[in-house]
Amino acid sequence: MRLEATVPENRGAAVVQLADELGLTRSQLIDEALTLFLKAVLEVKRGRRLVTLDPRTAQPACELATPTLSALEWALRPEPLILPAEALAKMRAMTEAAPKASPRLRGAVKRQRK
Amino acid sequence: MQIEPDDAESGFSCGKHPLDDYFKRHAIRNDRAGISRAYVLRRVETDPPELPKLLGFYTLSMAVAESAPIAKLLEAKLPKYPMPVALIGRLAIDTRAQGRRFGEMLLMDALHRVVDAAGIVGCIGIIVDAKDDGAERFYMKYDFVTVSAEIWPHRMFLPIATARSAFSEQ
Repeated sequence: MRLEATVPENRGAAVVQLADELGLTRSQLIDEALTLFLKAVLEVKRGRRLVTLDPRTAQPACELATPTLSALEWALRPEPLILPAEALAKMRAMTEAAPKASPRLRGAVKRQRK
Repeated sequence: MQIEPDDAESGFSCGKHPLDDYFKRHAIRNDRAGISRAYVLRRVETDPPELPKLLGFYTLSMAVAESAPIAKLLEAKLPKYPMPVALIGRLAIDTRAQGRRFGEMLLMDALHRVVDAAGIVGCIGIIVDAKDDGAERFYMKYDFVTVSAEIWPHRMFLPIATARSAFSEQ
């Protein structure tokens, strides 16, 4: 099966470089990467976290997270938030007719990106 | 950046005891337990050296907004369906770092994460708990609207479509 994807320039360059370095084709590299990601999604869906392990100490060295994995994890454990019915009605109305972001909010996002 | 165990001993203090206490005693444990994720903002090389190493933090979790059972029974016409939302439970800046837009930086980071997450999980918007007048004014600047003000903290809401539009119009 052939898949096509658009990725940032630097990520594409890293794939090409790593494939050369490991003596793999790009397809082999991407196939292995996808296998790992699919496994990661399955583990997170089981309520587990992904960490790297330092073999000398057997202690977790760092935790692996991506926006997708974090989102899946959050979605697994929603906490109940009890609100007055009027508040829920207001939220629903706001959601159905959501205004565009104000210039102030857009300005804050722009500053963040700098 | 995600919280690390050493952060609890960083000497972080926003001047509000419940938030300081939460950060020191519960933030890392709740993060590791998956109850709520904690993200921190650390001083970088370009920041003035007199600032503390840890500038601020916020917590993020998913929640399901629903009305109290009694209200459901009494007000059958009002919405009954639980609504998935992202909850910014706490957001605080160290007193030594306040007034430098670090709060805005943390809030925008949180919104960015939620907008990304909403691409793959259900989420109609973001809820924040404004603990006092100052916090309420802060969130209002960024389009949050108070939906529940009977008791403190006031609950405020920002529809996901509004947040998304802020990031898509750049």
